[in-house]
Amino acid sequence: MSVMDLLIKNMTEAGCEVHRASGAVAAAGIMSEATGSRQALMAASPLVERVWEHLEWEAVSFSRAPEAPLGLFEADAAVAETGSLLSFDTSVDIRLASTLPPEVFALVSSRRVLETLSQAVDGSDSPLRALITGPSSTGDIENVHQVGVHGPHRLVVILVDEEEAN
Amino acid sequence: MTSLPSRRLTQTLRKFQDQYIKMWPEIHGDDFTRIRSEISQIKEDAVGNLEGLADEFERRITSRGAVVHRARDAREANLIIGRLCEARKVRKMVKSKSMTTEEIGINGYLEKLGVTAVETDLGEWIVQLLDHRPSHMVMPAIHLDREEIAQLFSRTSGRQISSDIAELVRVARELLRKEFLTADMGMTGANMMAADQGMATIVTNEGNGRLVVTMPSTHVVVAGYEKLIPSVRDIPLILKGLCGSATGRRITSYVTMMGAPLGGGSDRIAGRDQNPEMHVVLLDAGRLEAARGPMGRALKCIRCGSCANVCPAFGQVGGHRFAGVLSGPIGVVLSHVLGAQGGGAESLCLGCGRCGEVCPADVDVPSLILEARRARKERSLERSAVRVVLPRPALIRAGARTLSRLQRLLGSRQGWQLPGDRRLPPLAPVPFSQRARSLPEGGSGPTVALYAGCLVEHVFPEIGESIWHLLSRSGFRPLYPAGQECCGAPALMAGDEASQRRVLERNLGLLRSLQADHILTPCPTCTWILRDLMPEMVSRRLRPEEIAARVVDFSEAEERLGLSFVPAAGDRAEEPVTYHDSCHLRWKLGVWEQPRGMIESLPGAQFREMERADRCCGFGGSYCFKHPDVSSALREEKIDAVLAAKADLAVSCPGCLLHIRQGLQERGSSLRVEHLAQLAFRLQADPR
Repeated sequence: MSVMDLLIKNMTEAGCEVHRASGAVAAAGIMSEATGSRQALMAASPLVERVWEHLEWEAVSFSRAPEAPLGLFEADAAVAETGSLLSFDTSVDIRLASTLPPEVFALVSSRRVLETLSQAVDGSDSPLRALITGPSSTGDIENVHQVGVHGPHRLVVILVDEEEAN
Repeated sequence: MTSLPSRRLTQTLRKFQDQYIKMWPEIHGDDFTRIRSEISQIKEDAVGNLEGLADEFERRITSRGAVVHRARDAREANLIIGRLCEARKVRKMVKSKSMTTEEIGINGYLEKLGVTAVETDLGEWIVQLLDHRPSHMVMPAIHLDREEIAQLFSRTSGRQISSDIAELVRVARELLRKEFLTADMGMTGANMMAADQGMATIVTNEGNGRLVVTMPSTHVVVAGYEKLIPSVRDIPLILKGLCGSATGRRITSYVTMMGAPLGGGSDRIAGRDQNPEMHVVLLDAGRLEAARGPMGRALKCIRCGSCANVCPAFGQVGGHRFAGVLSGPIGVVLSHVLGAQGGGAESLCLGCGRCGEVCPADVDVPSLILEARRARKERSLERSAVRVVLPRPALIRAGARTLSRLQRLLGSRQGWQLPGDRRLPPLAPVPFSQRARSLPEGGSGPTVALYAGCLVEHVFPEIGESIWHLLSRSGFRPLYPAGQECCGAPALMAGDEASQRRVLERNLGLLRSLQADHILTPCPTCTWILRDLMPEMVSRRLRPEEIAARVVDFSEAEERLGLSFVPAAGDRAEEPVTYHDSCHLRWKLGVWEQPRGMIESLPGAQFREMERADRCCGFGGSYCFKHPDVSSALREEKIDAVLAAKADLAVSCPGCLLHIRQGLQERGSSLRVEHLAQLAFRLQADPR
């Protein structure tokens, strides 16, 4: 199984919806199909901005972050071994966009797929290394698995193939 | 004595334990032994260098703007946190799950200072609202059902909330969201603190950890020294052990490694300047001393909860009774090791050994519990009885003779019912040691010393006779070591090491003088003690390994001795027979295939596997006297399984035999339960 296939398999098992997009335009198309929301709390990044250009959506300002129906951010990498997203955001925007809204869309460059957790954990010296695997969940009530607690109940990951490296 | 909690708690725990035990091999696979020995090494190294790691951790994380506070004890930790709150005029704090903050009682302390501490982990929040203590390390509210939680949420929200779990979780999200957005401070624990890069790591599924760290401007981490690990490179491995064992998944939804101030989300929303702060309170509270002491290896614990998840006693009483600093088996050990209150629950341990099998950090919890008992030099009836009686085999014999006569005089064929659901079995009129004198000599093959054990000697001498005849027929020469004594199990369980050693030394001397080729015992507890514990407990001068190496349990006799079974002549209808794994045979000795194989190879027996065959029957030796309710409750579940199997039962342990037989009788069942040796003998050819 290729690393990409393993990533998609593990992410799906973890409860993500995973898509591949050939570029920013395709990613925008996938997003518009995948949700009825047309507003998003957006954590800016070059890839997010490229995709945003092709969405005719309203950007929710950070002053209204708690009301945003959808969050959009770019993850720094994806980890195949566990089906996780890796994020180094030391400023708060990505954390707000990826945790507060009930629906979260994550973009990640298909070139930034790491094979193992060790590569993710040890591969940088960022003072924040956050792994996100699937939407939020709990088993605290009668040990019944329930998706969607304090974090999002829906996590959509779009792996974007890009021509220009970043 | 323990009173059992509500039936509902027991049912919830039992369902959970059944699911957990079933899923465990699927999650862990063949890799488990290797992974846990690696995790064990990492944690062992860490425990051996806590102060060095603390210094390095502090250097790294302070270079990125965090502040580290060293707290000698709970009082100091609370003072430090209290001062931080006062200086920043904190009115409300949100918390992500931390057992360490439970340990120091920070919520109550802050309440007095006018600071509201709100738990945000769903289970922790629920128990906080009810003013309960968490009943499990990973699922603190597992003792509650959805109806109770719905009532609680209805009261809290002022609305009528249904008991649909999805709705309950939605309501919790809504009610707690407000708290995240208005909190002045966030507090977390840390599961791992990597010294080489100064990174504190939390794991959650709910996302509350991320919000607790992000929203307020000040973040406080409270963690014991034992959370320190050498390197971030150790994290993926520990996650494997932790997440698999705690949640049955490869990894939790959120793993957050933090090495610098990361708060300020609410400031961002309000358009204010963000000046996040991070404070790490490193708590000693007995850990540094414990690390240097004989039970320091208990600090390897990675807080997965798997020991509680497989513990038969925990499954009956829950974490409120089987409690300490943490709940469950390791919790009781840590209470003792850290000198914390709430110890004393060590007596709830049945000694089955299952917890040690599943620990992903290879902590030998069963031994630690026994060490804790040993160290508690309390005067207890049990210990006194052991100390007085065990060194006096003549006294034991006389006592048994008297009791047996009394029972016959009073016509008590079922034994004696004692108060509190306890029962003294009917003692055999002629103990095995006496019968052995008149048993035939046997073959000319290798000699096999029959170490009968106390229950066979005094209650089931017929098991000894069955084994004698089986050995003779296979060509062995059985011998009875006259003067053999108890293996010392009661002393071991009572924590009386000295009495145990003495009785083992006397047995060792006797067995050595006999010079038998093999030593066969019908009781797995005796097997375990003679083979595994004796070499460590008696003086090396006595060369115990030579004798220990010859000890064979009857259940292994087919394979290890070459005991063979001669089929009876003529057609025989096959009787269905099922098998119960005795804890010591299964978990201490790792034997479970051979006894099943033995039943299968017996002519006339058709083996049938029963549900939950490897779950403890509840006997536990003197345990059934100390905690008869737990003992009986476990027995009831075992009997349910036996009845469902619709087969006679064979067991490897006279203790299980005694206990289960009593239970079947009480249920009015006519199903037969016998020792494997009795089954084998019964289905043998008649001697010509």
